Amino acid sequence: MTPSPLSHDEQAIGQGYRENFDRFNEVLHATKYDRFLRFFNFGYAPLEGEEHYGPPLGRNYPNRDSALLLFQVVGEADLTGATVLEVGCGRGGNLGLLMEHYDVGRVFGTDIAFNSMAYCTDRYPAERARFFQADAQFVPVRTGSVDAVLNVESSGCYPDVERFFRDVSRVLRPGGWFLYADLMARTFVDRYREVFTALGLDVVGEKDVTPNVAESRRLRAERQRLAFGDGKAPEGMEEWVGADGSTLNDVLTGGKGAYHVFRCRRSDREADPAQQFTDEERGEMTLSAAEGVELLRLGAPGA
Amino acid sequence: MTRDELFTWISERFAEILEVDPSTITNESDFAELDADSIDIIEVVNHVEREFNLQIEEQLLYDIATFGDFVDVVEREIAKAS
Ligand SMILES: C[S@@+](CC[C@H](N)C(=O)[O-])C[C@H]1O[C@@H](n2cnc3c(N)ncnc32)[C@H](O)[C@@H]1O
Repeated sequence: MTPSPLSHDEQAIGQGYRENFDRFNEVLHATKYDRFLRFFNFGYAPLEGEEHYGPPLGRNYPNRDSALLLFQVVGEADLTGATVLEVGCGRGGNLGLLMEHYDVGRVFGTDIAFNSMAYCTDRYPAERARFFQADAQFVPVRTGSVDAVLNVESSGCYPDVERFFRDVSRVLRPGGWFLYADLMARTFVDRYREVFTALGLDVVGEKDVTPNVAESRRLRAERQRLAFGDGKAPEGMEEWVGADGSTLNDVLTGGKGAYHVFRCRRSDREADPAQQFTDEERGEMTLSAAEGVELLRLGAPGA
Repeated sequence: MTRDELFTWISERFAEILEVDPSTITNESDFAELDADSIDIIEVVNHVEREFNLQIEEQLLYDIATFGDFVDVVEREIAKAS
């Protein structure tokens, strides 16, 4: 095996998320909701008076807020026939929706958690959807081979997010879409835009969805916490669902964090090979990824 | 099992989940009016699947509006399975 270019600390972060998400899968697997739980994200709730955006959803669709978040991320991108790669796809709910509502071609999902990949392989049709365990910082596909890369609420886990963005730029064909959303430090939003541009990813649409994501948490977090533990949610579940008073909820609602959607298209320009984020920015992002590992450790089942 | 018996059995389970009086649940009861969300629906589906040894396709559940529609789905699935 070739030695990993990731530092020891960076590898430990990846390992930490892998363990956390594998464990979270085990918890969900033990609940009666298991087969319906196809998303791990904070979702998007329409604010008062806001009209439904995106394909129609059945009224009992079980993960409505997560579906609405995906619709925001896709926006007006035309994905007809597109080969789509979702990095950090979790249980594959986003790709399932793309197959159902956007007439996409073949889809690929990767994630660092083995259990999620096993779940996906069991549930989506193998002729259309393939899943691989892989680290986002090394996207295992050929240069210029995909029409769209999707990445939802995952990049905050990566110790070196620039490495990931570079790989997105590499694997997209010119004109291809990078459909991206995550909770990030508000101070980084402008920097992300600059970095994307430097890497040959032109920002063609963006939206701050923080209020909607916060609203989704306000409406759903407590209910999900109960469902995810079948009434006895393990300690630590508050963070997973972003419950009121949790650290992640504070970041989301306290002004420090921005849940931001970026829609980019791959230009013909070469990616600038120079390092984009400053050492200080990189340090801050790595630290925040490391803190997330600790926040998302699940304890024993609670009472 | 007749449809009426099936209706009674499911409405009793559903009433327990929602913590309401079973007599308030009718064929016309709207899930939204019953204040039932998708988690409640999944829960009752689980009871039904275990009791009748069925596997109900998720897509069949996404669009139903009333309790009666749900009982109809279950009735059809039981007929298909036997
Ligand atoms: C909050 S979940 C989002 C999952 C999915 N995108 C969704 O919207 O349901 C974050 C995902 O990122 C994955 N992840 C964390 N670190 C990763 C890494 N270094 N490489 C790939 N996936 C990673 C986790 O396993 C998890 O599935």
